[in-house]
Amino acid sequence: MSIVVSNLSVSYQDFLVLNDVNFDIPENTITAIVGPNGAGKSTLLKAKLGLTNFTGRITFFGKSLKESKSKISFMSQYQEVDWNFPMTVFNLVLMGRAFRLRFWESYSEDDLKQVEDILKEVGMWSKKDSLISNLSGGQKQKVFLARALVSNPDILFLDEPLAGIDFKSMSDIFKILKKQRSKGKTIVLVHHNIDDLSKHFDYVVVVNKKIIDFGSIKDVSLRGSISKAFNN
Amino acid sequence: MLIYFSLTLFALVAALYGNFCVFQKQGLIADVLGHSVFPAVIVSILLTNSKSYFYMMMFSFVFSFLAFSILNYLKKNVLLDKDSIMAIVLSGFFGLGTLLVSVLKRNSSNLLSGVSDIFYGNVSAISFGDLRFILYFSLLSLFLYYFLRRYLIFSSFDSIYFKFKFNLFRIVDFLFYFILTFLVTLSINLVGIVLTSGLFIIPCLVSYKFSRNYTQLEILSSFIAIFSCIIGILISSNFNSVPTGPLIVITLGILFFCSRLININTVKL
Repeated sequence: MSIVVSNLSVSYQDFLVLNDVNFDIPENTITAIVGPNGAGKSTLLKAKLGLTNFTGRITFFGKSLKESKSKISFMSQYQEVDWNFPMTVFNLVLMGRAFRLRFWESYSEDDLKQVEDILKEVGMWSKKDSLISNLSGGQKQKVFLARALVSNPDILFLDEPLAGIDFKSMSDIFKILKKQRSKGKTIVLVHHNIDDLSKHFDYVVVVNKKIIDFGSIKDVSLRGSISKAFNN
Repeated sequence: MLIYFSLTLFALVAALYGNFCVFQKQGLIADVLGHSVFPAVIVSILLTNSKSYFYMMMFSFVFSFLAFSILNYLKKNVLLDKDSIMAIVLSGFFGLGTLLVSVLKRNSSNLLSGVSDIFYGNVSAISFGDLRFILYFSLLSLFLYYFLRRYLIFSSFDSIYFKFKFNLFRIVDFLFYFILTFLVTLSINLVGIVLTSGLFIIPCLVSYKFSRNYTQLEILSSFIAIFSCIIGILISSNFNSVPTGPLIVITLGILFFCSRLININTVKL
């Protein structure tokens, strides 16, 4: 298993957001975390990344987060970022290589080459010199995805990467994610649309303060737990 | 020459750090730190019975740091937006300063003369030693900026990603606010506590409209800060009764309004 979550609980002050969550995500899969608004989907993702306090245990390929941080990448929610920041597409993606550098070091030729390759892969090379504030919603998400991929991670966490984008961009992003899966990556994303789960995902985590269900798309669909989670 | 060199270098550094205040949506932070200096100066006069610049700076730094700590505590524990929290802390410290002035008036009103300089700035009140100190600290801040720059850009653009990927985010945060606190404290004789935030914030707001990347913004905001500083010092040193702070801020204000008239970039900050 690439990601193992055991007895995970998260609370903000006295309010319990997630209670005793357990599941294992196999490697080389695309997994969706679904649930109604306020169910704790993003909190679950942030707990996995150590961005919120939690009790319980989370391991990545049997190692702690600290040991595996360099192999994990993450894409924040669209609205959590300042898109008016004066930055070009190329520089945004280059940011994804910076954590390897010591504070006095500059980017190497290899860093620049990796950025070029990943921008070509997501179809955004022609926009490399554009300001990020001038991009459309779908283009912003692709560039953001490129930043997450440029460090060549084994595990990729995406927080609602498809929110507010058009059908064409959505389809492009799924193509990129499937290509990454074929390269052996494990991808976990918080997702809103429950209609396209069987088309794009291998596994699904249904969450509403606790785990309602977890398993392959086929099994979870048969049990009808997704509609149960949204109706309760 | 030293006065121009020290203060324009200081203005440049203030603009560089001020740019990040704007992008971290903390436009009022310099104002909060500046207003916390007001009671600090009065406490310094009351306790030392003198207007020693050294003691004023020491107390100002302690009070600015206290204001910053209160701000951080409230951000973590009170469900209010950043601006409201900053407004609370800012007015609280200003109220405390006003109260202390009335105490000072009753005890030793002769020490009150010249206190208005800390409100609006007066370059002629800065001694040779103070100028040297401002010069050295500005150079040190500029040197640290070279290393902090990359991380400050990341944290301003996407703080969550920065916290996840970079282990040194706490150090970067601490150094940024430490330097900012010191810069605000040093700015009291140049622009005064009431107008501090203008020097830190307006250069960024003017230059944003004309910049295609962050380097351009840095260069332009530095030029704007230096230009307004030179205008302020020139007029203030020729007409002794005119405080420097308002002149600098009015120059910056005029540049800001002119920049709004030029229609290049429509993105709002």
